[in-house]
Amino acid sequence: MTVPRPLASPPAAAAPPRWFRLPLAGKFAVAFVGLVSLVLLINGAVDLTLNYQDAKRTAIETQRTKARAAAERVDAFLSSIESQIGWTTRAEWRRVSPEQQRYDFIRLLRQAPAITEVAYLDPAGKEQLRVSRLEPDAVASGKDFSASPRFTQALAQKTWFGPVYFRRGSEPYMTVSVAHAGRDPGVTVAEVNLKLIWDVVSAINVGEHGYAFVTTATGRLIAHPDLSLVLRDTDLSGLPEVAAALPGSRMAGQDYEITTGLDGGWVLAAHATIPRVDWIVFVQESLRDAMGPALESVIQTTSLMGLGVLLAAVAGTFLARRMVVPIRELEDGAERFGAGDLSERIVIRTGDEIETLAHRFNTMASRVQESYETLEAKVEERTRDLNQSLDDLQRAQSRLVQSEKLASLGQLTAGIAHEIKNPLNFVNNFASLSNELVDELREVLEPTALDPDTRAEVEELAGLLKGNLEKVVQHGKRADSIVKNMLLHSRTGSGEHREVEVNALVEESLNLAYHGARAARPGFNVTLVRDYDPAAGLADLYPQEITRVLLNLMSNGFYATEKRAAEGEPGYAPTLSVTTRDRGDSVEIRVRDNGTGIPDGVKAKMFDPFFTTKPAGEGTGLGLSLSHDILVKQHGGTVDVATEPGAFTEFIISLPRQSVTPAAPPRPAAEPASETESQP
Amino acid sequence: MVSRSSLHYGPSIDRGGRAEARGPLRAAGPRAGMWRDGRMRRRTVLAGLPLALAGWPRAARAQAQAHVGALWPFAEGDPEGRVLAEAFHAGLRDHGQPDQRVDDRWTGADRERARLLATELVAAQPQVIFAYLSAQLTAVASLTKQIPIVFVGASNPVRFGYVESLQRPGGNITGFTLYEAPLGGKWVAALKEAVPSLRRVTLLSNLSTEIRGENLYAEPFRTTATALGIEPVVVKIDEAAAIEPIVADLARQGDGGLIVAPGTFSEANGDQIVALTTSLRVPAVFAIRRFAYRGGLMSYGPDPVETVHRAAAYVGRILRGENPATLPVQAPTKFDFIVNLKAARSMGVTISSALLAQADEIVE
Repeated sequence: MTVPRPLASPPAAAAPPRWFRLPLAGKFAVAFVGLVSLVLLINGAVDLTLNYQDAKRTAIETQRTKARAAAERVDAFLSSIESQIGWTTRAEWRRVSPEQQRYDFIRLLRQAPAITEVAYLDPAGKEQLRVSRLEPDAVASGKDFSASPRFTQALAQKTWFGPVYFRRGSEPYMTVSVAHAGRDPGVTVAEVNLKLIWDVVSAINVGEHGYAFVTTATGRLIAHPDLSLVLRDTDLSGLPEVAAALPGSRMAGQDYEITTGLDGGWVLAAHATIPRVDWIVFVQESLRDAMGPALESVIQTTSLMGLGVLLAAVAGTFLARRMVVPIRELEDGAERFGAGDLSERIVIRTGDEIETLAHRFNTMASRVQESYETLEAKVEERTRDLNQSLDDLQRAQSRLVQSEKLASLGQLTAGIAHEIKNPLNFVNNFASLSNELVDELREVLEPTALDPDTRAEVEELAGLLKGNLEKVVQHGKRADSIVKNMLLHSRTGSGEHREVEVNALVEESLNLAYHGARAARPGFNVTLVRDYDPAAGLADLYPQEITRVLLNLMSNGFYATEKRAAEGEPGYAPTLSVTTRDRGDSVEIRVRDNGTGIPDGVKAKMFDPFFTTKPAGEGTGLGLSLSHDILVKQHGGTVDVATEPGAFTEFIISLPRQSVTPAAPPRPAAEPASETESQP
Repeated sequence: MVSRSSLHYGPSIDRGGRAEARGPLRAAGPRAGMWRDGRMRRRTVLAGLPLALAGWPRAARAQAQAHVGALWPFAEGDPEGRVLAEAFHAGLRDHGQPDQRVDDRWTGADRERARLLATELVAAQPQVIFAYLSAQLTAVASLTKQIPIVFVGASNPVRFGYVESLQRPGGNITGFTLYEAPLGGKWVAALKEAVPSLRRVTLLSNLSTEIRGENLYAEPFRTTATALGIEPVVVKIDEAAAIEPIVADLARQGDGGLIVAPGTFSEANGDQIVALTTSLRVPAVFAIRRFAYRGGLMSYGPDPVETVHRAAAYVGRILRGENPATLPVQAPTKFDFIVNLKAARSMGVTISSALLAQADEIVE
């Protein structure tokens, strides 16, 4: 979703600005880095400004302090000379012996190496003594200095520092005269070699490459760590910082200057004046050294800033990736879910909202999956139900079809039977009548004398006739029974229903069947097994109909055992077992024989009307069909058959205790009429 | 010089001043200190870089051919020569040329030999030539106008024509003077004070102190002597044999004194003069301080060791590329008065306490 897709949005349409089409990681990183950089930049800029200003102020202040210290040291040099001269200026000094005075001067020269020459001017301004390092001592030379400033100024100011002059154009000298104490004083005049300030100036420590130098008020160099510059009689008034410091300059108020130094390159110069000699002491340091801290702070701040931005970039990228990777996973997961793959879960362990979101997605997926499963189960259930319904429907349909078939057949049969019964009654009746007539004929012939042969022949014919007639009667009765059965079949359900003791009913039917079978076939033998459930109890049935069914089934069983016995299987014990069981709302009756069983081909058709396996004349093919109708249609029960050819056949009947449908199948209406018709 | 001057100004002032100068740096707090350390470290690295890149081939070239030639007016093995040469080497070491090769040539007082060695020296094309005293400077100066020459001891080089002016020498020669002309008077005054009965004094001049036939110190010498009522005589000598008659003459006349002017000749024959003056009881003042220690009565002059040391700084600066034409000629600032009491006693000269008080150093 965040991955840029060139085709995602048409460029023509109001496309979002490029910024918005950046991937989330990019946006996040840009935002993060941008924010951090902004903060760092602001902080850096503020810090830089403050630091720079601070460092500059500090540097200038330091420089200024150094200048003042340097001025103090140069001043101390002058003061030391003044104080050295001082002990020749006592009030009583002029009264000491000339020898002593000379000795004092020599000592002064030895004490103060900068003093090259020292002289004593008496109160009148005449030179009384001069001691020099180079020249012979002059005693009472009497040179008149009374008008010279070294005398007048010293008297006026107590101490006078003369202007700087250069001996032989090279060595800087200065005259220092100190008036003696007391009234009407003399003056001690010393010529000071300013070269010696070099010791002071070169000892002043101004940074690593900085130095101090001293100029006169006109910019002439007096002292410099490089003595040769001084001896060269250098005029520095052209140097910017000196020019700025000279009296009357427009920059007079400011005691520092950032400018180019003697050797080129930027310097930070500060100066301080020594008022009593009008000298200016400069200290200067290359700007880089002086502003070193400021530069350092700039470098430091800049590098910190760079580092910060770099860190921010790294951290931003890292965080963005960390954030985006789970989101991508989430996206993939969502896509998977969307595609219907609910088996996998999104695994995100970030411990934040994204993880929560992933959990929500997973929960959603689980819910959807659960819903699917429930739905499938329901569909299965419904399908099963539907199948069940379909089965039921089909069964009902087939039953209906069967019923309809049977009903129409029943109607047909009833009609036909009715029509057949009348002629059949005629045949039977008249055959019986004829039989009796044959007997009457024989009685008629009895008294008559007939030759034996004829008699024998008549007797034989009468016998034959009687035999034939009996056969007609016999088969007529059989036909009658068939018709009667057919009528029964079509009529279905006779008598009225009532509460019946099931076990008793079954036992009665069994006895009837057994004796019937015995009566029909004298050699018949079978083992009867009874297994009655005492709890079988009562059921609301049509007893006649059920008896018919049971008789039918039992006689079928007997027939099957008999048939199997006829096969001469050794050790075969024909057995018929009858069982009743209480099944709660229904009663179960089982009739089982160990006869020939029913082949599969027969099983499908055995409930069809007129289907029989018995030889012609032995069965009507309506027994089972009728039984089925009675059990299923009349009583709402079921009949099932379990069989194995050559082993057994078992009919299982299940009858509801309150099964009798109020609307019993309509009995064929024609029957009573036919009965009446059949009885001529 | 530095140590001595610090004695003069007093250690407390010096230290106090230094403490003040450093004060602001400390006051800037630990942060400033931190910066400074960092800066120094970085600068060391930065400074080392060009050195590492370009420094060593130049150093190698310097090893191969660049050297400093030095001409000394001493015989090889002379103790004074050794001391001065050592001071020169030490000066080079102290002024940033620790590995500088120095080709020391010992000429002795022989002018011919000096000229010969100077020719050799110039032929070797050293970067700088150092010449001690006028004779050596004269020998070298005429041979080259290209190779920078730093001298010590050529008094009044302007008048000698070696430099245009003291503050701007303008050529290939610069250096330090040792003596000044007025000292001629100073020596006489000192001798007169030591021997108040002095009536005649001879200035022992030599070639190296003469300019156009005139001794540098003669004028103040004569003036002062006359002022003090002493008869001045200037004698120019050129060979050691000429010393003895002069000293003997002085001794014979009585109340005479001898002033030994500086110069190559005096350096070489000082000991002989000391021996003669001592034995003949002629009070003598030497311009060269060491002879006061070697038995001379007195000396008044600068300390050459210190000056040679400072001259080495000039050599160092020229080696670093400075132009000798812009390096001013420097004059001495301090002269020492040395009195040898032992010599005084042996000569029967009584040194007054006033004179002793003037003495910077006393040899006993």
